[in-house]
Amino acid sequence: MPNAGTVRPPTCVYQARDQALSETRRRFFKQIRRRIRFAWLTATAQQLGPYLGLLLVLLFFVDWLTAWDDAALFSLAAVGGFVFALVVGSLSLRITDWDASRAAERGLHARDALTTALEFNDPEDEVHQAIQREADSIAASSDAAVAIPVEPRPDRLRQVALAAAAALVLAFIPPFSDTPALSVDVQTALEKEAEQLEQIADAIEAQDLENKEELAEELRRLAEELRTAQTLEEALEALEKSEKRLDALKDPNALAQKAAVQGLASDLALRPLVDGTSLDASTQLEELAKELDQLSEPELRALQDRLGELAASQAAGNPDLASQLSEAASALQSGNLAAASQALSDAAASQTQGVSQARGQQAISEVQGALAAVSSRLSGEGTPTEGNGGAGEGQGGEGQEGSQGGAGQGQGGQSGGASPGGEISDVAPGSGDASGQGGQGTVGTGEGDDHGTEVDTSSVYDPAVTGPAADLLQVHISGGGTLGDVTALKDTETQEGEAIVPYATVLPQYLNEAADALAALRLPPGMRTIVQSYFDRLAQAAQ
Amino acid sequence: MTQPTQKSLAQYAATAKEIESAVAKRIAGQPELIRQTLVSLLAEGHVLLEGVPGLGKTELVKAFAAAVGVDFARVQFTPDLMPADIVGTQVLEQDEEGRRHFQYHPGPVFTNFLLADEINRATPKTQAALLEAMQERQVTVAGESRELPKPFLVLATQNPIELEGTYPLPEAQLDRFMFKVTVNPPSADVLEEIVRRTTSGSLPEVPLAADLETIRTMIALTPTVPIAAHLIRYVSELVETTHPEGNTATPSVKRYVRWGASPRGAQAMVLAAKAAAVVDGRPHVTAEDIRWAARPALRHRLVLGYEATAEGIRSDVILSEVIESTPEPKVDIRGAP
Repeated sequence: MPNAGTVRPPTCVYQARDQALSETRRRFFKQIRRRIRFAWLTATAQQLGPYLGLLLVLLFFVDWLTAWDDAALFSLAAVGGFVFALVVGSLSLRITDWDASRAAERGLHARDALTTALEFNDPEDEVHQAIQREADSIAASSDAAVAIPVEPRPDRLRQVALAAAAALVLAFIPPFSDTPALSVDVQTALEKEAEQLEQIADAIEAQDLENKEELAEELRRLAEELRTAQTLEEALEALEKSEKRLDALKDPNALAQKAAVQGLASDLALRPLVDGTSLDASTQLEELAKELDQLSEPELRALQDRLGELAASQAAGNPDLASQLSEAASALQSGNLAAASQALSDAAASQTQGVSQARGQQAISEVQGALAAVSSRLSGEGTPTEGNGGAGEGQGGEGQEGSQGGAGQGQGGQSGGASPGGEISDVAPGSGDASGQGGQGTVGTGEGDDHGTEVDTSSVYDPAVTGPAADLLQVHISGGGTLGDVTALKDTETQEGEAIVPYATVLPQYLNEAADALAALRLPPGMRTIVQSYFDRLAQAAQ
Repeated sequence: MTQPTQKSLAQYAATAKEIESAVAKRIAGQPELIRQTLVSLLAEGHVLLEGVPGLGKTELVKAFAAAVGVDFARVQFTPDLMPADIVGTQVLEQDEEGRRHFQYHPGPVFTNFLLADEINRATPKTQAALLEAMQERQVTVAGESRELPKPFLVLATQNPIELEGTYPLPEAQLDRFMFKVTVNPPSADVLEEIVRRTTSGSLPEVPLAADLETIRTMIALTPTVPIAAHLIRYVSELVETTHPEGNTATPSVKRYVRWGASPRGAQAMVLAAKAAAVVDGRPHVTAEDIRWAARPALRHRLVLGYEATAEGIRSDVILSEVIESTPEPKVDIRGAP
């Protein structure tokens, strides 16, 4: 049935005549017009409602897919515009008398009486007046709401409800991608981390480090990768790769070299080669090289012995320096002051280079710690830090080599804490003291209980107890400190057998001090783990 | 508009009811047939009655003539029937003085109700003799036109079964009939009533229900009944839909109809609708009147193709689809009825 249900407006448009509508019909047509506007509004809303619903679904789908934040605003605007257009459209409808009468008579099944009455209104014609009376009767006895019914369309309403439900679901479910890198928050966090890394790179370049260019380049490269990361996973992957590249820069003998360098520094700080000075080790060696010809014979012999001792202490960690010191000692023994002076100058240069290398290695460790902290913040897997700040990448201040109680000013990221849910919050750069631990700070931590059980399993050297081994120079390196915070040095009078004590005797004290050190110092996470596992093993053994 | 009468519309409706009741005393169980014939009378339209023999077609015409008190003539159409047998002829006569002259002897067409029984058995020439009478309501013999009495109504019958020796009416003549009324066989109840009435030795008398003047007034009133413009549009669209080449043609029309209804079909529908309004005592035409008039006014005006004949498709089936698929004009505003 091709014509079924089609709307065919009559082309025989009713020509408005000088007709006099009765008051009854005029009032009735007014009600009918109002009713037609409402019916049009309702029908149009039902007709277009599903499309509006589809638009809302589309908006929230985009929101869900791309973490677009303006979907709700646009949806609200679309609904508001839709309602506004409907109201304006219904008010702007032009409804003639013919329209009103035709619609009313169809709704009332009034058998064409109202429209015929509009066309035939001769006051002198009996038939016309009969038509007028019939039309007035219909108008007087009819209800406009019955004439123009507003019929709901269940199919359309179902579609609207379905679309609205889909839009709501899309609005409240988590975004399609669980990579919030695209969200504003994550992008901001990545940008801050990148800026922070660049600041660290700048600070490193200002330092006297052996590998500062490589480190700075690596940090800047990583900062750029964080900025251009499309997903959080991509950023974390870049961090991981960067840490691996930093691993490759690490020297396996770094710790031994560091111990040797710092040992020499400590030794010369307590027993200067040049009297009355508080110069660092390399300067002392350099000054000594210049003043050799001013030393007396006994002083030269004492110096020869001293250089031999120093060479022996450097053999493991810094063989070059040990060789140069031995060479200087041999030259003194042979009376070749020039050769001795040259060897001492070379030793000074080696010490300077060793310090630079140790600093470089230290910087690598600290950068790795910083990257681990960044990774922890970004992935949201970090342990809440109770507002105490994360591990700061200490850009160590210029702690004086061998100085007592040197402190470095650190600059590092401080995280307000990562929530257990993994959401990044309050990521902000911060600063923290990378103060060196002076005195007898022992690096370590421990969380075990009952550390003081009396188990005589093994023995350990206790610097608080004098003994035959106490004449060794004890160097304590605070792991979280910067270069230059090699500050603890103790030289005591000892008696044989007294310095070696059972672990159980000193372990509680060590554990407490280690815990304090771990809490206060900014150790790289990897180092913390090592220290903690070391004390855990001790505690188990003690038990 | 002229004032047709002093009587009210209700009085005309009452008269129409009386005529229907009077005819129904003779014709049992055919109220629709009686109504369609009365509407044809008021609209001055001719009726083609189609039905098998013995259904009371002749009795219907007789009863109508008796009910309205008009003349009635019956012509049995046969193959040897000549036109002069219908319209009359000139006969050479000699007066008392011995002078000869042609004298016109009127045929049976000069009556109010002419029953052309089995019209399809006459030759086309004889059938055509009725053309002028039906259309112009006059006959021309020997160059002289003579008006027929008013009202003049041709009620022709034809048997749809016996086709041997018949001459189907040409489309031009079919178009002159306002209605083609199908006379259906009676049901058992109606048949029982027919048997009771016709086997008792005397047929029921048909009372005079209206005088000739009243009938003429009602005939004059019919074309003046108001019809709204949108209903005329509705009629036009209905007729347009019967045209296979039209944009609104239904699938059945496109497949089975060779030629759609002519403008006379639309005229017949409107006049019949107006007459129906008079019969019902309504002051104006309604869409229901038009739909009621559509089938009898259009069924003989559709020229069906061989596919329809082969598949046994009748015009009424196609017209039902046409009526169903053509909505009344409505307001072009969404949501309005």
